[in-house]
Amino acid sequence: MTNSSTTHKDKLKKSLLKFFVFIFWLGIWQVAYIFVASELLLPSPVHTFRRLFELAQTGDFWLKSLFSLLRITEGFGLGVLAGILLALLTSVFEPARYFISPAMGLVKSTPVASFIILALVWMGKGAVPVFIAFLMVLPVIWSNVSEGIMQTDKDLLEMAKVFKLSKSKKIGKIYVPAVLPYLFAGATTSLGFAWKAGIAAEILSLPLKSIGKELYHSKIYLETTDLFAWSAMVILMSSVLEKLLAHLLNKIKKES
Amino acid sequence: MSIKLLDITKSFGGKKVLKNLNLDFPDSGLVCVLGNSGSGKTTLLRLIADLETADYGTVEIDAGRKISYVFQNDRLLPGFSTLENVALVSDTETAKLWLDRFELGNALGKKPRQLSGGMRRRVALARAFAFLQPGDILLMDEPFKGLDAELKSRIIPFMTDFAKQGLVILVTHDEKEAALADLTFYIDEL
Repeated sequence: MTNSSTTHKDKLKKSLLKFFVFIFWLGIWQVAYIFVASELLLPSPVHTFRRLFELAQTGDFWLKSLFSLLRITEGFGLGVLAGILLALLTSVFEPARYFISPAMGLVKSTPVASFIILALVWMGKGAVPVFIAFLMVLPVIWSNVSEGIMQTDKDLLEMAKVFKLSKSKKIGKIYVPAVLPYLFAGATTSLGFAWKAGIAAEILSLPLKSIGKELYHSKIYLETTDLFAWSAMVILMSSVLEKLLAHLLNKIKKES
Repeated sequence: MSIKLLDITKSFGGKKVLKNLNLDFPDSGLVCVLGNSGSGKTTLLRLIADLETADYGTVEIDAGRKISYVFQNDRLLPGFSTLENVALVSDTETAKLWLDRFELGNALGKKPRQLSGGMRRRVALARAFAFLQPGDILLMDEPFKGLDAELKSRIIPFMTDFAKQGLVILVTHDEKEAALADLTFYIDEL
């Protein structure tokens, strides 16, 4: 048997396993629904997916999902960028680390809800989810990239010094390859944080055209099926986004 | 004199590795540094290469002479090909020439992890030679470790050839290599 056919078989096995796990949990959900016997407390999976399908027929559903996606990816992108720049600053200028480090610790340990409420006072409702996603990403990227810079092979840096490599060669050929795995790990971890916290921020700030606002309305009007349908959309978008990011990062890794 | 070490003292964690060391190196030739392990041979090379600072004393090197270094470990960029690793310090043609001389012409596109230990050693040697111009200084810290005798015998002439037009400082444990030297310093006795 060739290696490729073994890999193909393994992949098929994994996919099948995933499918059965999915069916298993759907079954548990259905059993719980029968047991609870109240659509208000726990809608059935069939009703949830039917509702999701109905919602998906409307343009408004996609527009709201798109706006939420844009807000959170904007916050994520800004967080990645600021995290990298801040890590560069604190690596080049060591005293800056003493000032930045406690601030990052504070951001990490403060409850997200506190920041959301503060942000509601400080800025417009559309900006709150962007800011919250940004805050979730910033400390993770900062600490990961800083760690990557610190862990850069000292032997290679000495080699660069002896052979008088230019700054651009040193950065491009030694620092970047050393930092990339740390940056990728940070980006993958923080994307999930950004997505969850961003939606929570939408629920509290209620910007126009947002998944968060729909979740809030479902709660107010006791539309539990809608709540589940929108939540299913959040999970779906989150996993698609994570897969896309992983694919993109893999591509960059292969090219570098 | 091309390199002058004046009253050098260097300690690591309270342990003196070099003490009041004075050495004059000639402009060219093959100078061998011998000594027991831990006697400070590598530290001596690192001081010359400006990778360490002496606690006391000064290192004087003629202006305009570049220093190339074959480290004890290969120090190759893991994500880059053999050719890219050597072309990092020279132009591509020079890099190819030296890789060819060290019998790596058919491994230009291979990355360090795809090479054997001996091949990686040769890439490190090719990089050091590709960086050199006549009159420069070549520091070699046990450069032929891991190479078989036959390959070593084909590579050594490149070192002795360069020693005619520049300075080679060789740290080794091998008596045969040491026998090639124009001048030998026994660092234990310093």
